[in-house]
Amino acid sequence: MSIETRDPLQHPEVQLARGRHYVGAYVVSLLLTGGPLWLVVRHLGTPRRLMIVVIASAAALTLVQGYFWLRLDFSRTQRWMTAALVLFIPLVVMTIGLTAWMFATLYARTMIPTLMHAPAFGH
Amino acid sequence: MLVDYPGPWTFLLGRLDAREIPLQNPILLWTFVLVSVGAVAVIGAVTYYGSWGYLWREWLTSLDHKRIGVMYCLLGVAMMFRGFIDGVMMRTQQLMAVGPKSPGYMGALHGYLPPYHFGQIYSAHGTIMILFAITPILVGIMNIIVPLQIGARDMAYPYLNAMSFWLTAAATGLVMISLFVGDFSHAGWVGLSPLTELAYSPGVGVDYWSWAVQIGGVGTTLASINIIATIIKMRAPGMSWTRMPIFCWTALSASVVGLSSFPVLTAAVALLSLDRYAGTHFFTPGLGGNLMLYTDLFWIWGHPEVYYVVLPAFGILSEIIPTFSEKPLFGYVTMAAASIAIGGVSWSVWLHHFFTMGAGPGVNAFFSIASMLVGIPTGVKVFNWAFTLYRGRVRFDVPMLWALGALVLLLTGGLTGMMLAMPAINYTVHNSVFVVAHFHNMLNVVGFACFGAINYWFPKVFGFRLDERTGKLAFWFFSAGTVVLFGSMYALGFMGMPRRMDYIPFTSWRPLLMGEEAGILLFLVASYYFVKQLFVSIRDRAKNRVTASDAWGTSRSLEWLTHSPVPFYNFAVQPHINSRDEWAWRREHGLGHVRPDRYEDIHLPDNTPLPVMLGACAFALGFGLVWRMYWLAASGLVGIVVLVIARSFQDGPGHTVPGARIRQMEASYAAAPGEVGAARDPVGGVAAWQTASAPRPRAGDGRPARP
Repeated sequence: MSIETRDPLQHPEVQLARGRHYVGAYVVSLLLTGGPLWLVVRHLGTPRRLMIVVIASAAALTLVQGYFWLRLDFSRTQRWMTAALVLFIPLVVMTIGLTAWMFATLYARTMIPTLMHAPAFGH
Repeated sequence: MLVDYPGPWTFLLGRLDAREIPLQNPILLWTFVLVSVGAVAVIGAVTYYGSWGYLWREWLTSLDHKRIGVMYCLLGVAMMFRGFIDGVMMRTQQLMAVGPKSPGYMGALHGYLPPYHFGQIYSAHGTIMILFAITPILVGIMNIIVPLQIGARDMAYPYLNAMSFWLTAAATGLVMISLFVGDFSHAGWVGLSPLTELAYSPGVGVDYWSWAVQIGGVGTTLASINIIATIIKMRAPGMSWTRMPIFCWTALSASVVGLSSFPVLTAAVALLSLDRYAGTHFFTPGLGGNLMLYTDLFWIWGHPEVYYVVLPAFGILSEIIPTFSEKPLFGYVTMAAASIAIGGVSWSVWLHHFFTMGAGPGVNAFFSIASMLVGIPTGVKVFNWAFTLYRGRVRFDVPMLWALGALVLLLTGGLTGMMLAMPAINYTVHNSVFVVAHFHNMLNVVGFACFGAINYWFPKVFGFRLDERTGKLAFWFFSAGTVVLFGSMYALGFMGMPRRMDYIPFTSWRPLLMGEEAGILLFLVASYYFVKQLFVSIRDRAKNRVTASDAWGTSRSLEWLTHSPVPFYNFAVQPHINSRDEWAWRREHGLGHVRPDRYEDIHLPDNTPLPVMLGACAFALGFGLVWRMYWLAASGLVGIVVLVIARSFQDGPGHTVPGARIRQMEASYAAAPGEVGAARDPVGGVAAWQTASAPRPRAGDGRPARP
């Protein structure tokens, strides 16, 4: 079931590593992090548009790092790790989604409507 | 010093000074004396018998999953006693502080515990029982049993396994030292927000709690990774998913839950620590912070944690009940599916812990329905156990008694859980002791399963059975205590008694409070019999020695194939799996004692002190941060980094036990079954098959060829 090797350097995960992938992914990560930061700092766009850009960049960053750093693909040695990520996504969506839902209804019903329109919330 | 807090600070000792040692409190003083005497006695005994080397070589530095599992269990049982004493103190305080005329002692207006001390005790009780008692016991049992049930030599990552344990031990050490240096959190085991913020809790109590939870959380997350990897990658040939024992299914489901939920807790408490140390405002009410966000994050972990502990308990019941019903488990496939389903649904129910927050009716309805859905797979399990018992040849050995007790408790706990899943009822009983009775009811299911597991697998690990008579007495007193204590608590909940009260204003509640006290005294008697059971069993181990691999004669799964106690290499040859209940299949086909023609060399990892040292550094990091001794915290952190780097450079090829040596050991065991174990060793069999008896590695032994 598993591949028998006692030498850490022979592990498929290590064998898959490529220097140019690491460097390339690092540069792309810098761009995807620095770009949205620059847009936010410069206030280039409405809060909604900035939010979309930040979320899209974060999603792209996840894919880039997942593929080039963590080697999440469908090869025999890596598929369990990819499966773990795929199974994890619904949990993240669910926890964040349900949290957003419960807090949206909470703010509407309790003491926070004034706070929702405060500058801290971007309104 | 990043934020302002009251009190002096020095570079060397941070916030610590002599006044933080609570010598003026007679309870803590006497506890300190008692613990000191106990520690001196233990250290003296180990020194007298010259066992330090043995302890270090064979236990503290061990990477053997069985030894690490035993250490987890010992840690958990010791902490369970500590948490239990907290429970006794709480019940006694509540009974003494009823009505305005109740007298006060030792600085308390009523009863003997001032509110601040009472707050620390209930906070410590909850934190300890859930995170540092039940969780380590279950992780320990999974550690011992999972590799044996799947036919593996060890966990997938033996080093990580030891590291997980020592991180848990470091966290436990922080909780324990808070008894005598400083104080513990008074903000409940959940860390009630914003009470945990620096403005409302300026002492070090919350810091002790938060760093213990964070370090322990890392340990449990790593343990979950290990168990998942072990089950997925280390199964013996022939063990397909549908041949895997149910306990492994529940361990897998629980570990997925643990892996995905514990980081949320660690992150939530880390954000709280940023609030307290760096002056951020994640959970402060104002400046953009949101205190309910903490509650939300805490329960995103908190409810899956319930299933993290209850799923292995269900697995234990699924192993014990078929053995003592002398028939296969009913509905294997549905049982496995139910285990995964419970783990899955556990992620969508957490809001029911704070229905009263004020979320909209749609939200409450969603979480209410999701919470009730848990009842479906759980109901499947209960019916499967019932059908396993039906027309079985039921024997009432001690493990079975605990398992049946757990079933009864599951029924009452499940039904009251259904009540609490309804927002209308929940609004009525929220924050009352009805809730406390419900979750103690459910955690007692886990507790009963743990005691059942200890009795059930003890002979497998140590080579002799636990004493039946004292075991039964422990069970009956514990059961009686459960009914009397939590029956009274349910009733008090219906009468409207709020939880966490240090003073009870209504004298009409006194009879039921007396009932609670009587219940906990019954627990005290049960504890006595449990300790006595261990003592009597160790004393009479020759009488209770197990001479066959199967201690109960009707066991079914793979761990009963190998010797009792289990040798350090687990299986002399890697077993090939032919059936779902492999041991039962071999027994029924007359293959139980077939010996192989040929033994292969067995490769095992070398012991290493690095995990202990990592644990010590984690403790230093936590203690330094609690007292804001930044030099100590930095030293601990640097130590951790250095040790991790050192490990990556460490050439640890392990050692190889030659097949001839294995043949020799197997032959000696076959010639005198049971003789090798308990007879030679005062603490039983795990130590009997010492790794020390295996040849130590010579230069180049087992060393892999470099590419």
